[in-house]
Amino acid sequence: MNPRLDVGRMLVEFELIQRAKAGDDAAFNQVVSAYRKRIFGTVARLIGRPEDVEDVAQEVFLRLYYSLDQLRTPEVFEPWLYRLTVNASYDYLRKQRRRSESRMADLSEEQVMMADAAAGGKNSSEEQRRKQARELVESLLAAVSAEDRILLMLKEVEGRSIKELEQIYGVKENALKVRLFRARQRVLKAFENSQKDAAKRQPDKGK
Amino acid sequence: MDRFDGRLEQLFQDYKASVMVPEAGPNFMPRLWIQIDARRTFAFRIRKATQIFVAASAVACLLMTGINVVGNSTAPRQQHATYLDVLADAHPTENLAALGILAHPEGPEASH
Repeated sequence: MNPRLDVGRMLVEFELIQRAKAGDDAAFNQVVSAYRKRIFGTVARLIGRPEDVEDVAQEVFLRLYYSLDQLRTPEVFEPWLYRLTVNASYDYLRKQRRRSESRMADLSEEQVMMADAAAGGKNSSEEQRRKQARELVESLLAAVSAEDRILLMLKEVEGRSIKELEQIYGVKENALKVRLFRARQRVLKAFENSQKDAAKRQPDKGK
Repeated sequence: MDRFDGRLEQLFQDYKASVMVPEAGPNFMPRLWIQIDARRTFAFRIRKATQIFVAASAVACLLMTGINVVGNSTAPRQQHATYLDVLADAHPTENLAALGILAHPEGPEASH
């Protein structure tokens, strides 16, 4: 399913949001139920760790509850909810990176091995290929900051347009384009290197 | 680079297809409400403490203003008087006359 199709179509009536804003707990429950699946999907793709998706999604809805009174117009509800999702995911990734900083030094070797596996996985099953792709993307994204990772994910994986990103981030289009371009170039460079290294390792395997 | 560009695009699509989106557990909503209530209680305590602090500050402020006003109205004349008034009080005309600086107020005979 293309997430672009969902954008602009609110899953709940604004009146329900207004009721939640006024302190109606049942209305808030309905808003959470309506957006839960979408937020789970976005968080899962942004952080890449299924085991922590529920915690991050919970943080998103907690922030939603306490910032509902700042919402003025219905048009901004979804970009605003996405901003909360992005911020919660970013906080999570930042904490994770701090924890795993010591392991970062091994990433380049790991990256090569994954690329190697991806290149040699022609005969493996579709699922295996996707798993390798996921691991490779995870390792490539280590080349960029947590902010850039999220931005790239929203654009490349979630399929958000520049206009939507502009609304989510509240930043000018040009600044976003420059940032996206730089982040993509960094990931592309890491990908290129990993593929070249994998290609070099292929003939060695045959010997 | 272009060759890798297309492959990277494909890689992102594979990534999207491969990410497993978990379902919310049965405790998702109850846990969420526990967190909301916990933060609400904490926020309530902070708000209450802030209100008490603001009220106490206002009372202290009024008290200080009152002390200042009452203190000023009962203060000795010197605190409100001009320099000349204070000088006149310190040196009554009789003293000045006795020193010969001023004419005696009741005439020159009066001093004898």
